[in-house]
Amino acid sequence: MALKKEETSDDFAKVEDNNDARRVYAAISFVVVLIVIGLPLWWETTDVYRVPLPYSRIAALDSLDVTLAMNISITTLDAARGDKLIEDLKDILKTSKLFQFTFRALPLEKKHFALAHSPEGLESGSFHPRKSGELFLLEVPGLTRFTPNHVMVGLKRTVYFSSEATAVKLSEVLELLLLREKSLRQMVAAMTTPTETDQDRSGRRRMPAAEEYDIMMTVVNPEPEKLQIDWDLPEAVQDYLEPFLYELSPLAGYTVKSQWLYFVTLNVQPKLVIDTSGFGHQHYALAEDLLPQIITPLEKKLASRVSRNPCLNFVVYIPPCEAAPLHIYTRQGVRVKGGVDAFLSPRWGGIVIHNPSHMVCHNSSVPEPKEYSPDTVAIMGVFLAQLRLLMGIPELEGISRVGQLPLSTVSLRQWEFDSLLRMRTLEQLTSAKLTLQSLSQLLGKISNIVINDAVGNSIYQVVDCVERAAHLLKIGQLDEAFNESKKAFLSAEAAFTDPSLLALLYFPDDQKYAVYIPLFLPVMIPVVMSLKNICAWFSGRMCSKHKLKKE
Amino acid sequence: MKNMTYGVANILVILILMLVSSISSIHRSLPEDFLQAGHTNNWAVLVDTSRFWFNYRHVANVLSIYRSVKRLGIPDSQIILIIADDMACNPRNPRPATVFNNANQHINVYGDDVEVDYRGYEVTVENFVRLLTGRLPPGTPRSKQLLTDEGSNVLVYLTGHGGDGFLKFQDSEEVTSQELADAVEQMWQKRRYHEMFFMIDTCQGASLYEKFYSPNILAVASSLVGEDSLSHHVDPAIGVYIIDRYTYYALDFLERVEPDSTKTMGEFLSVCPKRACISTVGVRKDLFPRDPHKVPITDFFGSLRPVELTLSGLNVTAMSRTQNQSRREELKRKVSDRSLQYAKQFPTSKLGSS
Repeated sequence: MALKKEETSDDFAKVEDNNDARRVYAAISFVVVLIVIGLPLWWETTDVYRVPLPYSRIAALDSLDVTLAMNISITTLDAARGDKLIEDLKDILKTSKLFQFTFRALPLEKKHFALAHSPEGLESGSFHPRKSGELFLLEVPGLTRFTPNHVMVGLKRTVYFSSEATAVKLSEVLELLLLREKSLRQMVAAMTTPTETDQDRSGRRRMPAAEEYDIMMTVVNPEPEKLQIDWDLPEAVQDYLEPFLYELSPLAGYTVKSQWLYFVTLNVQPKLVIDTSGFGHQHYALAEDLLPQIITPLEKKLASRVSRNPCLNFVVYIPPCEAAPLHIYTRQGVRVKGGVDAFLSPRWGGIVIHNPSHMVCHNSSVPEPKEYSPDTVAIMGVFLAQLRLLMGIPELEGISRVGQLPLSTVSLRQWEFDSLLRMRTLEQLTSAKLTLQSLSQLLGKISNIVINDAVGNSIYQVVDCVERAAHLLKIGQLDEAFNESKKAFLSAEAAFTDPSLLALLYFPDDQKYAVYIPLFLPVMIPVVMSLKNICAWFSGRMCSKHKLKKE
Repeated sequence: MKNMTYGVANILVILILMLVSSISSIHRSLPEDFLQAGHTNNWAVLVDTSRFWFNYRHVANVLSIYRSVKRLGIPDSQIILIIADDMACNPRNPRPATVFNNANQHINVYGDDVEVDYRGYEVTVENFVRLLTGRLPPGTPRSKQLLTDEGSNVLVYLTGHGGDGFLKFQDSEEVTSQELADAVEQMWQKRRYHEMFFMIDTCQGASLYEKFYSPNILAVASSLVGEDSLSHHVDPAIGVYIIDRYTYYALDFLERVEPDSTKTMGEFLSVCPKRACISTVGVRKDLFPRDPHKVPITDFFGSLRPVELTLSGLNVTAMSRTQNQSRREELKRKVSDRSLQYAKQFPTSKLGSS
């Protein structure tokens, strides 16, 4: 009888054990499916897709050494003087942080002076450096016959200096006119730390770097029924503007549009000034303080917002005969001298006030509308001067005893073009670097920005181009460095402003958890609690096994 | 003797006062700072985040600010107006095609030259964030883009229903203060603003600017966290509340500002005392480097571009006709057609498209 009881209690225990085992195995399977498989699967599928980016290379760009190699050749009558000049210049310019100078002395050759009767004649020689970024300093013994200056900067990449010019003067010319290192460094500093440094004057005025610019030429005629303007604007643009833009075309593309606006006034009240000089002419005075108020209402009518490219507006305003001549008065109350009434607005464009001539207006025998042909050379000359400033060719402060050969054709000096190339290369390089760094910072801070494959590829391309551009600058290849920096800049902009970065805008972290926790927490609580029971059961089995073994 | 010294003292005091006042007037009349102003253009982003007839006052708020900003000179091409635009043509509007901001119904702020950039169902958080960060899809019209640069002063005005840390958009979604702060930081990283003035007229509006961490932002809200912004008055003819208190007093101030005004931002920030607004106006100045009392109000509300005089032109002669002709022939050979042509009707953006 006792045996049977033991057997039944043993069987009962075994059945209980089996049930327990089944329960525990079921609990283990839940744990495996939910925690071991489910949790990582959920994490993977709700993770923000990000292509792995070269963060270390991007961080290394911060300390990228950007220096520009400058090759300067010097030719003097006396070789010893040339060597001394090179020594002095090296000494003065060794504190330059941006430029690495390489000087060489070239021997004097007869061909330099073959056809030269004047500094302008020297310009047609064949010794001018052809490569962008190089400079040539040539001693011209008879320079003082033509000009009181000791140093004359040519139209190509040559600087002519007389026998009295010193190394200090030449270094001033290099620093302030040709290389403008201070301006370049200020531009880079203003881009990197905008809260500490501001752009200098030419930097505030210059249009930002872009792939293409629009130029909109407008003629404003407020009273066409009284004054008819007879001007072939497309032809003026083709004659004066297009050659200039053709020279600038390696830097960026340009689209020129033109339009005529009628019945549009200036919306300011100029004051009437009676001329007391005895000629009996009166004119209207436009104070300099009123000039900003002209641009704002005019801008509404210019329709310069058709394309996304930055737009330069050049406006010619021809006042009607009753309001002519209109002259600008400076803030000190003095009329501007020089016969040019024009002003420009930084990063916007320029306005020229072109007065109809006295003869046309006061010719009472001609019925209205009076016909008037504007002076194309004067107007386009002012526009070209303004365009040069707006594209970044700075107006240069005068240094004593230093002059520049005047421009006679519609083109820019080659060293000005080199200077623009340098400035744009540095600007685009810095901008691409900053874009990459800010993108990697943002990726760390904001968790739901997506980087898909295309954007990842462009970022790799940007890093490559930036490194290559810095290397090309160091070995003095300015043209290729500019092209690489332009590629880097455009790709960086495209990568940063790609719409796909915001693909997961509605999926911030806190909302992710807010959605999933109410779904999974009620299920997970019993599973997690059962872990305790599983452990207890396993340890119980271990103990009973030990007990059985012992027994 | 006593009288004489008294007289001399009087004269001395008067002289000193005259000297001091002349010195201070000299300082006040110098406008040179304008030339050194860091900003070159002004933009405005005006957003009304609510829809439905009973939120008439929010549309009136935004349109009144729009009118003021336009009057002070910012052109439409630099104003992004984001409203649901369901008031003027609402079947419940007893004065169709109009929106008024005052029970006197003097000014129709809707007018016939309003340019709404985002309307109806385009007013979403996604579009707002894409607008601020510049990540709009290619092919977006230029009038819908915020094409600011590093010299732009941006005015951002938000109104609608808000709460602690969020702003409700169109009754179906909300934008949190953290998202807004991140969007503004992305604007700063790309140098898309020079200075920003952030105005918000919602309940608990101060919570929206608390998370900002980018520099050069001046923020003002109509109420602090825990307070409600209240509306001003009801128009019995239209049947709804017609304007909010803070915007009413702000407009009162702006109506008296002309494009050449010398009023400062400091005065604008103190425009609605507690007895008028009932809620406390909150201001955040710590991210703004300048003293608001020295910043002219036209820095944000008006649009005056800096100018420089051009004193001479280039004395150039054109290329000779034959040279020009030959150069153009050469160019024609290089480029297929350089003839005059009409601009594309739907310009597509060059960046980001294939």
